Formats: sequence, structure tokens, C-alpha cells
Amino acid sequence: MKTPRLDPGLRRDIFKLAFVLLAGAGTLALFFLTPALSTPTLLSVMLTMFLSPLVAVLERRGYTRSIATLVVFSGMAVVCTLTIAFALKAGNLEWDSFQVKADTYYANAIERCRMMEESLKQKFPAISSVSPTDSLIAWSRSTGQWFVNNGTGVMGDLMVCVFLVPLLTYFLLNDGRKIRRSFFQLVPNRFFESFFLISHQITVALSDYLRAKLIEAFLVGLITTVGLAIAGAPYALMLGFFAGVTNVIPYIGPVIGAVPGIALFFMDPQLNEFLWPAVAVYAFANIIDTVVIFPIIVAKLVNLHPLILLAAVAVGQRYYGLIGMLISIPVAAIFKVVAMEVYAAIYTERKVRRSTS
Amino acid sequence: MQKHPHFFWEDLFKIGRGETGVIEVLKQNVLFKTLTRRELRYLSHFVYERTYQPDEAIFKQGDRGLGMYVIARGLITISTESPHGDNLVTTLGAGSFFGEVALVDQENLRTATAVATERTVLVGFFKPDLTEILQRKPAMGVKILYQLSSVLARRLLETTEKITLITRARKMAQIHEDAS
Repeated sequence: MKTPRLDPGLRRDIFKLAFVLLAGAGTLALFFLTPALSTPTLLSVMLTMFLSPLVAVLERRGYTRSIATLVVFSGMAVVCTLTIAFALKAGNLEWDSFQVKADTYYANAIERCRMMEESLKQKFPAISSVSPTDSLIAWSRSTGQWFVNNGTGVMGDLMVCVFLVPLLTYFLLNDGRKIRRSFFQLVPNRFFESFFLISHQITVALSDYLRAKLIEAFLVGLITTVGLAIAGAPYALMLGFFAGVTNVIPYIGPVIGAVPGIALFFMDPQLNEFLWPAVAVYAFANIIDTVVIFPIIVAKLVNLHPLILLAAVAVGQRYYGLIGMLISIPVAAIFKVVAMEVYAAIYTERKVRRSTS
Repeated sequence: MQKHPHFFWEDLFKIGRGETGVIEVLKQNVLFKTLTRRELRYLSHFVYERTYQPDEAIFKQGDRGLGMYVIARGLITISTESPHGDNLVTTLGAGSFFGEVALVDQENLRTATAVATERTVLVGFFKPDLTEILQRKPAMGVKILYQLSSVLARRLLETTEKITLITRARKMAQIHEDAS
């Protein structure tokens, strides 16, 4: 019986691929083990994906890549400076007022919680042994203590980010292609086109998702701020900003975003009149997001079944908490791209080969 | 001492021919001959230089294809598989190019097998990069697409002529058979 001849280059290519994968795994490990490096890098990659289309628009107008990147950076610097100046001015007033009233809010909140706890314990004696208010006080004290102890470190990391992120983003925008080419140079010929296709599709899926989520967060933040401002509620800018930021977390993000506003208007008797308008504004923003923004901007790009999205978010939450929920959908999108490519490589190509032989 | 043709590290850390070398290869190709020097330099950032050993397949018939290759150095054979065996289509040398159908084909499936017959250096240009060039430098992208259309049109014309000749020969043979 004739034994099939083994491809002579196969062993070498597998060895090469193993080397590339090992180098990739090592880089990833280094990335996860050094948060001081990984956080700015991750932020820079996200910013690069967001800014890349702007650079492309300028390149289309005849600018070189370096000049286009410089123009985009200068524009960003101007926009950031103006926004920060405006936000600081408006936010400072809100912050000063909040600082003055913070003690009253805290005391009122504790008093309200104790009253609710007492009334519940009277109605349901079975829960008399638990004291959620004390647990809440203990948690808020320990969280406050953590900020006091780690505040300097957090500020230090933030300053590193402020300096590193623009620098890394500039290099990624300018030399990203060179870095990518150097990586592909290491991939064996046999796997080159598959690697190229998968990496291209992953990049497109991730950058589309990221851009869509940022636009979604901006719109939700804007709707909430405008809604609360129209209702005449205080801290509209801060609450709107918080609602926009937390909206990037799938499913529970809108709930987390609504908590500070609703809690504030519920706890302070002087602000009770804003409670229902605030609930209506948060609900309206969430409905617009679910019915209009998400289906038009995000869902079309991710193109995953809602059940898969839900499962991905649940798994992400189970293993990595909030961060897991945040990255679950892009990771699911990556899995989908890889699975579709593997399926196409195995079944479509085999079908074609069978029809020709 | 003779060098081992499959030496692992040589391929992995080999020094490429550099930007200038790639530009020279691209300049001599019909697809890119209408590009200016500046455009060629821009294009050189979008292409990938690959080295193949003798008998190493570049792609196989039925593989999902992404783009075309220009032969910078070496020799490759193009063949098709059929139920009656493999058919050698052609042998291509330095300066030639192949696989250009994948740049425009939606199905992305290779219609033939390409194998290096000696140590060969190829310059690969792929569909996502062509799309990116069209987005970033539309005028340059149109120049490439126009040349690509000319090549595909010429190949279509040649194929039509060949089919016409074969059909005519078959008809003549049928007439002779009927007469005898």
C-alpha cells in the first residue's frame, strides 16, 4: 500500500507558527502583567481605531499620512482644550455645590435607608437579623478609605496615561501599518493569507464596534444632559456624562448610569420634585437607545444573535466582572470572525476541491 | 558550504530587499506602471514580500484567495486539477504576476494551483489594501483598477478567441465525421 507523502515544509511551518504564537502569547502576558503599560496601550489602540477614519479623510484630500496625523492631533488638542475649559467651568459650579451639600446628602441618605429598613423589618420580621444600612455604611467607608490610600497611585497612573496615550496613538496612527507588516513577515507562507484575512476582519469589526459604542455613549449622554437640564434638575452635566460613560457596559450600564441621579433626587427632600422627571429622562434615553441608536448603529455592525450577545455578556461578567461585560461583545465578534473563517476554510474549500476531483 | 534551503531562521529574520527594491519591482508591472514615483512609494507600504522554497505551494486550487502576487525573483508553475489529472497551465518568471482575479472576485476562491519551482521571492498585494487605497487615495486606486480591468479584459478576449477556435475545430471534426 502506498503511504501519502508528507509535505516537506509542514514541520518547518508548524515550528514557525508555534514560535509566532509563543511570541504573541508572551507579549500578551507582558501586557496583562504590567497594567502601567497595558492601560495606556489599550487606550491608544482604541483612540487609534477611532481617529483612523479622520486621518483617511485628510489623506483623501492629498495630505501625507504624517501631516494628516498631525492635523488630526492638532484638531483634537483644540477640541479637548475647549471642551475641558467649558466642562471645568460648568462642572466646577456643580461640583462646588455638591461638595457643600454632600454631608447633608449623606446624612439624609442614611436616615432614609434606616427608616426604610425599620419599616421593612416591622412588616417582615424574618429579616430582622440583617442590617443592610450598616453594611452600606461599612462599604462606603472602606471604599472611601481605599481612595484615600490609593489616590496618589491612581493620579500617578492617570498622569502617565495623559502623557503616554497621545504619544502612543500618534505612533500607531503613523506607523501602525509598518508594525502590522513586520508581524506578518513572521507568519509562515502556508498560513499567511488566512492570518491576513482574519486579522483584517477582526480589526474592521473592532474599530466599527468601538466607534459605534462611542457614538452611542455620546448620544445617550447628550439626551440625558439635555433632558435633565430641560427638567431643571441640578447636576445635569455630571449626571449626563456619567450616564453616557456607563452606557458602554451592555445591558446593566444604563441602570448603573441612572443610579446616582435617582438616588440623589430620592434621598434629598429638597430635590424630590425632580425624581419622576429624572426617571422619565433616563427611561426616555434608554428607549431611544434600545429602539433607535443600538439597532441602527451598533447591532448592524456586530451582527450577532441577541441570545449569543446575552450569553457573551453573562460569561464575561462571571469571569471578569464589569471589565468582562465591557469587552464581552467585541470578544464574541472576534470569535465569530475566526469561526466563520475556519468554517469557510474547511467546508467551502473542501466542497470546491471535491467538485474538481 | 551549501546552505540548507529550508533554514528556519534565515526566513524568519531575513532582511528584505527594502522599499527601493520593491518599488522597482512594482514599477515594472503593468498594473502599476501608470503610478507616479510618489504613488509607488505609498503603494510599497501596502505590499508584502514573501519568500518561497522549491516545491512550496503559494496557493492551491479551491483555496480562499485574497490577492495577487508579482514575481520579484524565481519561477512558479500554474496548474489546474481535474478528474483526469493535473494540467500545467503555464510557467511564470520574474516580472510576471498572477492571482489578480482574487482582487475583484467576490467568491475569493483560487481557480488554479501555484507552486514555486525554485527559490522564489514574491510581492503580494491584497484586496483589503486595494480597498484602503481606494478610500485614502481614490485617484491612485482608480489608476490601479483601470489597469486591472485592462488586464482582465485582455484575458477575457484571449479566452473567448480560444473557445471560438475550439468550437470551430469541433464543428469541422463533426462535419468530417458526418461526411465519412
